[in-house]
Amino acid sequence: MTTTLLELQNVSKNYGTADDVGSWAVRDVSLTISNKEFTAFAGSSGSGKTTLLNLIGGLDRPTSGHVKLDGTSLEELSSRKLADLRRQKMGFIFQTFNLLPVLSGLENVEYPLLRMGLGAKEIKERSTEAMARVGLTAVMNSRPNQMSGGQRQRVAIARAMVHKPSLILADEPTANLDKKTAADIIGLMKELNRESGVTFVFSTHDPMIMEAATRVLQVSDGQIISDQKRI
Amino acid sequence: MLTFRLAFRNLFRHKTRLVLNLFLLVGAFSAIVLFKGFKQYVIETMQTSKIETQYGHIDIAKKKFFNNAAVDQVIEKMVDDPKDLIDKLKQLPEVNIASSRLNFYGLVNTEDQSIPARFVGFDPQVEVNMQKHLYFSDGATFQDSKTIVVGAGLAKLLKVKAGNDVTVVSPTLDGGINAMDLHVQGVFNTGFTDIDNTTIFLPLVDAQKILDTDRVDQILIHLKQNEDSAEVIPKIEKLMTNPELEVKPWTDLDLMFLQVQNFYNFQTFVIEFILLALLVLSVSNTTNMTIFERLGEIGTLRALGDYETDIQKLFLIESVFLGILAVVIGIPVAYALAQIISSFNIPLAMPFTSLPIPLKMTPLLGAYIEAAVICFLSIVVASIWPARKGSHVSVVTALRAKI
Ligand SMILES: Nc1ncnc2c1ncn2[C@@H]1O[C@H](COP(=O)(O)OP(=O)(O)O)[C@@H](O)[C@H]1O
Ligand SMILES: [Mg+2]
Repeated sequence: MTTTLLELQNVSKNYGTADDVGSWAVRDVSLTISNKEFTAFAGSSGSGKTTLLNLIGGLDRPTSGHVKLDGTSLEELSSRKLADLRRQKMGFIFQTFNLLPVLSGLENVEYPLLRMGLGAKEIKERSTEAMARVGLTAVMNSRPNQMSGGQRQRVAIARAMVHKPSLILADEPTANLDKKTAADIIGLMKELNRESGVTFVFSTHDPMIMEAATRVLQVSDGQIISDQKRI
Repeated sequence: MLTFRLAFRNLFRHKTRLVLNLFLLVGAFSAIVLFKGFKQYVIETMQTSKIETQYGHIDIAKKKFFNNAAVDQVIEKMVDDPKDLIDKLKQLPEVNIASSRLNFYGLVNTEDQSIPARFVGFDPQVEVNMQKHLYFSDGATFQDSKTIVVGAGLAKLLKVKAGNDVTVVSPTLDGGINAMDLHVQGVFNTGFTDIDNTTIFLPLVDAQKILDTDRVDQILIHLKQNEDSAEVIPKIEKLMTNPELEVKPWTDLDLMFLQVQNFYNFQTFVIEFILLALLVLSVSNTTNMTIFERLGEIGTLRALGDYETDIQKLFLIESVFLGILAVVIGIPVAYALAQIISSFNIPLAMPFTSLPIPLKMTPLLGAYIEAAVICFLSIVVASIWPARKGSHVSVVTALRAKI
């Protein structure tokens, strides 16, 4: 059974002044994303993918329109409440991995658990388990700069899922990886999606990566120009 | 715990920046410790000289003495038979010595001139330490009766040297005139020109002979410890039977010394304030750089659900670690510097004293605490503003920066 997880209603984002017609990064986008989807925003550079993901993740606020997660309208939340929501329900994966350089892989994964009121032992257990799930038990105490790009992105995936979010947002997660590693990473994301039912929304401009998605939303010039589901 | 680890390791990310910050902080820490230590040494040196040569820690005398009785009233400041009281004072455990003095004014006559002077008759057998604090530029201390030591400024006026003889003329207590020939044994400096330009020390017995009396006008009490004054005074008051006598701590008798202390305290305050301002400026400069280089990290942490205040806390903890590091290094560095500098014994001309004071530092726990407080304060003040600015940058903007 599928339920709506995410809903965008007439969402627009303008980075410039309101009357500056040219600076609409997202224009009047409406869409719904259900639980357990594995959805890709596809589009060329500058088309508005990152902006869409930021709006969905509550990292940025729309100029107009509504973003609803699990029935909650994000625009009604204070920035503190948005942070709470991200911490509890969302995970983030970035193109540049964004691991904290001075922490080991395992410590990076522990970070999202810090403010959840868990005991030290449980934090260790859950993050170790997450590192095992992404296949990094052997290098979990290494620093990011001692790891390959693929390993770093696996750490980032473990960090994004360790607190069992309902939505993981990944902005071009494979853009900094070679073809083979990119395929592995997207494969791993898909496995996690199947196993735990966590919804993935990611962006990419790589046709090969799009292949893995169950739904592809084509973004162009800040608008969704096509919506293809493939099961 | 992880936050502390993160903060601690972040501290070492920029080695040169850390070294620069530590250099400044440890430098300021040491400067404060050294300056305060030296200030303390100067004050203690002057204080010791005042206590040993002029007042003792506590003085007992009649009101007329404390108020500088006019010449025709000197009889009214005289104390009869202080022996009893002195014996009782010596019984007090805090008291080191108790001794009497007789002060008077007279004329010093040499072959070609006659100059008024202040005479202090004291007991050289009891006030043994006193003479160590008279720095003799000529001659030496005296043991015999009928000998005097003359303040350097006064000696210059009189054109006398050790070995000369002078005649002292003074009214006796009952109105007659007395004269005595005295041998100049030495010329001294206390560093305080008010004494050095006016004063002659002589044995108490000779002073009493000149005034034709067996009375005294001042009882000095030297304590074993400088700090005891406040609690000893009530005990002393209980021992006293003569209601005309008053007890005063020496600090009540020398208002100039209070000004000396105020002067040095104000100077220290100004120097500390300047150091604080310099530290705040330079540390905030590097903190600013650090925070804007770490915008990517800030954006990432915000995306993971950190509040703005969590980011501020992280940077504040880093500052506190920097402070701890600075103090941990600062303590031994400042201590070693104080030892080394003190060992050179460099004489320095200081205000309020004509004698050079060696550049030495009194070790002072308070100076270390104050230096630590100033270091911490400056670091925290210096990081609050950049940390706030950094945490207020929008998540999206922050995330666009490289991590
Ligand atoms: N913070 C911003 N300020 C101004 N313009 C922006 C900002 N972020 C994105 N844009 C603009 O919005 C459009 C969409 O950008 P983005 O969402 O990053 O596209 P994509 O991720 O598909 O490359 C681009 O024209 C970009 O220049
Ligand atoms: Mg993008």
